[in-house]
Amino acid sequence: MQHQTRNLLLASALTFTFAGAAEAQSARSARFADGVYTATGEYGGQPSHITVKATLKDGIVTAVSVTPHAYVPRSLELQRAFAAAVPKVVVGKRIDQIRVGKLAGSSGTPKGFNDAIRQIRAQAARG
Amino acid sequence: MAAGDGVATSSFQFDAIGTSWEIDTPAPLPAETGAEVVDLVERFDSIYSRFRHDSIVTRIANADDGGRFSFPSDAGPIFDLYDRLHDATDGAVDPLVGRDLELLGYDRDYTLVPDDGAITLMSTQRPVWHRDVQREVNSITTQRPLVIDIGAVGKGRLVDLVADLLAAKGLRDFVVDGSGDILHRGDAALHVGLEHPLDPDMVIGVANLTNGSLCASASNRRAWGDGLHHMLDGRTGRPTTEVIATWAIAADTATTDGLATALFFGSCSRLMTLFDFSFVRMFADGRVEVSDNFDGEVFT
Repeated sequence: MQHQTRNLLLASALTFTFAGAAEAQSARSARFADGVYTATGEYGGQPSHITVKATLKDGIVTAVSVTPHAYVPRSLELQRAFAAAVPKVVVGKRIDQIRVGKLAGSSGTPKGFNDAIRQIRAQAARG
Repeated sequence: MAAGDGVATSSFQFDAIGTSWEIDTPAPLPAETGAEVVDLVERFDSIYSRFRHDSIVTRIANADDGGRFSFPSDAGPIFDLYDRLHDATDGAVDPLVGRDLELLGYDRDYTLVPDDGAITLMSTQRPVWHRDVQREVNSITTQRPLVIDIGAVGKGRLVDLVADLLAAKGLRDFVVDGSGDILHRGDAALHVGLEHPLDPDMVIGVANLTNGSLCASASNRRAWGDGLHHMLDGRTGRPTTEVIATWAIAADTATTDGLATALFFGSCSRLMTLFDFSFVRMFADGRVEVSDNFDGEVFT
């Protein structure tokens, strides 16, 4: 469960980046070859590095890891355990169903992350 | 022109301080103005970044016996804002979480591995902003190495400075977007989609932004491991868990940015009495809290 949580969080960022390539959903599987891809992204002037490994299957990221692995036990139950009085559960709408000029939220992943993912995408496209 | 796009038809994009920037204007931004913007952002980064060897922040972090450090005059408002946020959140918002971020793995080298031994040691001698830093306007005095991270308001302040530069050039209608820190100027409202923190294909609502700033923050935005992300409680040095995403709207971007962080910590009623803003925030179980004065729609 803990592993799933971590992968879900990371995969959220990655899926968006892949979706951001502006291909239609159906075209993705044709364009990206299955396999395990590893890339190191650079950030800043130092530069700093981050290595991301992604597993692609049918154009979908099925697994992802950041090297070296960070792992601290933390239960999902703990995240859910709070007592604030909050009104409603969010439903949400698909982005393509609404019309906005800007988006604000969690997609703005750091550059190192994006850089690594860009390389993975290029590797997959070649494969 | 599509509704909600504001008046923008031209977009100037660049990468700086580790993220993507976008300036939308009715007419293309003159090349020299673009260059001035990039230069402004670069200078800001060279002063405040804890990721750079040459910044004042790095010198403070390396000063074994502390010392007196002078920031440019612009630092005064940033530290003033931190004072207010620190008080309003009972210390949860604290620029000294920089060291905690490093120990948890979010450091200059992107170690991304928590240093458990050092974290335990840190918990016994945790520095506190209002106690361990003496400040006179834009100068601070320290007694030991301290890692200052102005991440809670720094980017917002930078967005304001960029907007000031554009306004000084005579621009009246524009949007400055520093990856989630958005400032709007002009008469036509900008509709901003609030991205679902757990599903990048979804939005949980839309905010109407006119002559104001909107800042978004999400704990999974910079997650590098299970339960490890950049949104730390200054009192414990540990990542927060209850709130997973926040959106704040206020008059200036620095304050809005700081409030988007402060909303991760506890009740909003005190913040609402001390600051003039509206907000949406989402909790780990999918529920959302929307302030009465929020201009927009949340899909519940």
